[in-house]
Amino acid sequence: MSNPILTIKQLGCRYGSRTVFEQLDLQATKGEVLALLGPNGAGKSTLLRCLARLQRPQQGQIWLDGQPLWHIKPRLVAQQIAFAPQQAGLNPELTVEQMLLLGRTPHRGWLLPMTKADRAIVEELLERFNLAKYRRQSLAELSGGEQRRVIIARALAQQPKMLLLDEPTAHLDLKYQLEIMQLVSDLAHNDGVCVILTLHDLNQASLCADRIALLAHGRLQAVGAPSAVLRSELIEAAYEVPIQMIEHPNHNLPLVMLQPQRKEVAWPN
Amino acid sequence: MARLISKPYWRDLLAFGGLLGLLLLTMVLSLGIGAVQFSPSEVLQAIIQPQHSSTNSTAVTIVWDLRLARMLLAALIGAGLASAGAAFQGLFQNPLADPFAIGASGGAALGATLAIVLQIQWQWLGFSAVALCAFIGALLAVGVVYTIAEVGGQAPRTALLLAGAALSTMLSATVSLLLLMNEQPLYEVFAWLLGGLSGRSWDNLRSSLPFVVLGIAWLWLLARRIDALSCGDEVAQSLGLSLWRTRSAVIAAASITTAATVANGGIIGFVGLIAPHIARLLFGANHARLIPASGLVGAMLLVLADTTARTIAAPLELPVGILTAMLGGPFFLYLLKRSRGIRD
Repeated sequence: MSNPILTIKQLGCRYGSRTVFEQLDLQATKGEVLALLGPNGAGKSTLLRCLARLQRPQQGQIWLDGQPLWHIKPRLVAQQIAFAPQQAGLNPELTVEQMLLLGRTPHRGWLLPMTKADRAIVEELLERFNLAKYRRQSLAELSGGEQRRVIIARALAQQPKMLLLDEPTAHLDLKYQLEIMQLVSDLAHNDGVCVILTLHDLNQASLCADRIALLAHGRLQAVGAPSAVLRSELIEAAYEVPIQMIEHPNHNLPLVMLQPQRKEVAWPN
Repeated sequence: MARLISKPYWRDLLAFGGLLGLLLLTMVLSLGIGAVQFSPSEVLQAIIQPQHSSTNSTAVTIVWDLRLARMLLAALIGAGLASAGAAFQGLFQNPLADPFAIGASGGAALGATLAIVLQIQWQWLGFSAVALCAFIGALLAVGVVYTIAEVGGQAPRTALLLAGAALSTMLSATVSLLLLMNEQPLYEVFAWLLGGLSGRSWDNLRSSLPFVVLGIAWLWLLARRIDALSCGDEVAQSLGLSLWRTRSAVIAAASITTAATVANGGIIGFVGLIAPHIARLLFGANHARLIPASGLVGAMLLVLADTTARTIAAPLELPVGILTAMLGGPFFLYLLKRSRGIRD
């Protein structure tokens, strides 16, 4: 792997006496989409919070560009890593524009007024995310999908090298899910951002991630291309359910099929 | 395109100007109203040219010696409470928070009661003994609440609000106990607790002024940080903000402001709760605008309330706190109904 921007070594996290995960080794590079998968409670969000410097791991080290993450000043971290939380993460009374400008604070500081350059960056994001027409509306007036776009746009206003997204597609309809997946891919492959995201939907991960890291039972079970990680024995062991793998009709990518027990009921016409 | 963004500044500037004009108008009208009535022009002349031969000398005496200091104190207290309220509502992400949310009123009440009951005579920086004890009491109470709520370098919002509520109840029980055991000062303490500006003079204004002005200025400097905090801890932290340091700073600035208002005005409720909401309707939730705008609205509300309090039942004067509570209560209930609980 060429020049990892992120290196994680022997990372371990606990809540009280419960070990979330331990001995976790992982790397990530510029321009890739890395999806974190795993059952509920496997520590996907915890790992993401550690990377965002929101939570201090009990064991191990995280390096950002060769520097230990916890030795870098918070503001310098915020210039390089942006985090979009899964829910909340906004003040519904701020306007779209104010929210995005807040994303410039790691570069501008807490006292100085925003410059023309800051406004230009925000302007570009407003256009790119189709939010320009809502700029002066309060966030409360936006739909769930639009609010999610604002949260991600705010993170991008930080102009990060690494973007952390906690379940960016949760509670969104198909159109917005696709939009977010497309956006993530653009950011990584065109802008060279390292995007790390947690997902619940294995098929989404297959469709949008370059690599997948599978967390389960307190360990990193596998990491690699979708075809290497989304294999029935790995997924069945991680999620403890029987599944079947099929191939996407248009892309050479694996898809995971659940096998619920269904009783066929004949409804009278 | 980028130029478009700066346009609303004109709108805001206009709104600020309008608000300031309205406040000045309220102030001038307030000075003219009372047992002896003066026209706005008489009031203005008495203020601007007190020595001039054509100036009504009764107006000069009444405006300068009786009404001006009290009116300015009302404006100062209103501005202080409203700015502190705006900051706390942002900090706690709670539209129902007010400057007394974390114990300042309870501490001030106990401080003032002790000063009255024990007939303490200290003076400092122009504060009377009661004012000084209320000031110290308010700061101590907030300090205690903060210390209790703080765990491992963090003071969670809910813990702060709960500790504040619990301590306030304890302190007010202590005040009641003290009053039961000492009946003579009952009226004096009662009048103080209800909040009132009756008989306040230039000395009161002078002692509160520096703390309130510095407090509001400090809050204004913290405005962008409060914006970040109002989006939740994770966002604030991921923008590079130190939660502990920022929260402590906001709490310190807001509490110094609140304590300095309470010291000379007693516990005046609802202004610090309502004014920020009115300001938010006019200027939005951006704290760099919201904090000064709340200050202007709060100043206007309290000048209006105090003018009403001293004239509505003349020659009796009502404590202004009763008036703000009676008018503010319904508004608070409306907010509660509308917000459907606390956002978190």
